[in-house]
Amino acid sequence: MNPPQTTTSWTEESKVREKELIAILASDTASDSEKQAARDELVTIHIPLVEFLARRFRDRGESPEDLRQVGMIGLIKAVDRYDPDRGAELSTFATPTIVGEIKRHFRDHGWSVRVPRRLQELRMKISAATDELSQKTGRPPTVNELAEHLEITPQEVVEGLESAQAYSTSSLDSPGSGGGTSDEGNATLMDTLGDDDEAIDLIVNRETLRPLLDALDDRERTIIISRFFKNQTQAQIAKEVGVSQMHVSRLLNSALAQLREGLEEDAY
Amino acid sequence: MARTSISLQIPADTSFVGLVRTATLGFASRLDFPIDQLDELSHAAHEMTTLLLADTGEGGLIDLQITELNTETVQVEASSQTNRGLVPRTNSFAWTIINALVDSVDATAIDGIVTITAVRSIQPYEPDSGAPNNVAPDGRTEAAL
Repeated sequence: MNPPQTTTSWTEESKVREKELIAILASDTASDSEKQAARDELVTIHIPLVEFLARRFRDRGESPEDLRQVGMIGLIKAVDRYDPDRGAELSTFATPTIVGEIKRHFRDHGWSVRVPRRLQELRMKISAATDELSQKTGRPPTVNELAEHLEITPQEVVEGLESAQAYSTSSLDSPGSGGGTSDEGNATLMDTLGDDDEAIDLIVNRETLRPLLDALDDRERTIIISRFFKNQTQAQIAKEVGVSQMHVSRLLNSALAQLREGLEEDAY
Repeated sequence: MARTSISLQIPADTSFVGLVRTATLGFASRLDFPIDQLDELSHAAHEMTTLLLADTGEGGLIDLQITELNTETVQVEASSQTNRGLVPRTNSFAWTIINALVDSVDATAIDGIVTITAVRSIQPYEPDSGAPNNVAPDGRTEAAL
């Protein structure tokens, strides 16, 4: 899979620069900050590849922004894992990782029920408008503000928000997507929780809860802990994790669905 | 003036819980909740219903009443005749979740009927408290994600 010819950033010059950067990453003498800068630049160089691959999945009911975000995660993983000694070009090596991340996103968060295209498009419009209005005002918009901005009725906005919920319930039926997918060095739950341990200890059923939290994927676990144990708002989490607020909402929804199944009898 | 309120009764079956979210979302959207807070109120209503569902027998019913207490505050009350007639433990995970999603939550058990009542008001945002921005997954900000 070659990157698209139309991207101006993918030139011979880029290839030369890529080799230099890979050499810095593999170097024994480069400092940590030089390596970090090289890694960041390598990622930036390959953003057009993410955009190219994400475009292959357009018109499937997911917003281009969200696909680009998950594709970027795949790209960063690929850059971190890349071993030039194996002979493959970085773009060749990264492509299946980026595509895999996008496919995993569809698998984990795809539409669980048949949602009419009109509603899928409405949800995408609402998501984009939410980001735009949030940037302007510094807070997520209200239903009325979204309605005015999109020139639709408040009832239509509510329909769009509801359809976003239908979108995220598929994890109810899927086995835990985490555990084996912990690509960030197989961090244990204890590592992740750190200072939050004390808060979790206040919950009697923590022995039941911990393995369930551990079975979530890293991002869902981070979001659950940030929201419910660190008391952060969805908007704050969105900012930290680098996804939209509606995406945080969907991840919260799917993570809660998974946790709920394991804790049904626990509350009494 | 009477408070604006809606009532909903659903069978104690998970397939009906989505209606609770829809009703809560639709009702509370009439107030000026920012959509993340609106979403959380409907999350809370979902959790409250699920909590009751766990101890409501087959064929049972769950009643829901959603009330506009004032122009910025909504109350969600869920109740059912449960098997054990006990209020949920306040140190359970489910209760922790609900508690984090609303301003206050309380439960009573009278003659086997358990009622969970949650209240949420519109919260103001601190300046720069977190509108989503364009931070890349690796922390860079230049890439407009």
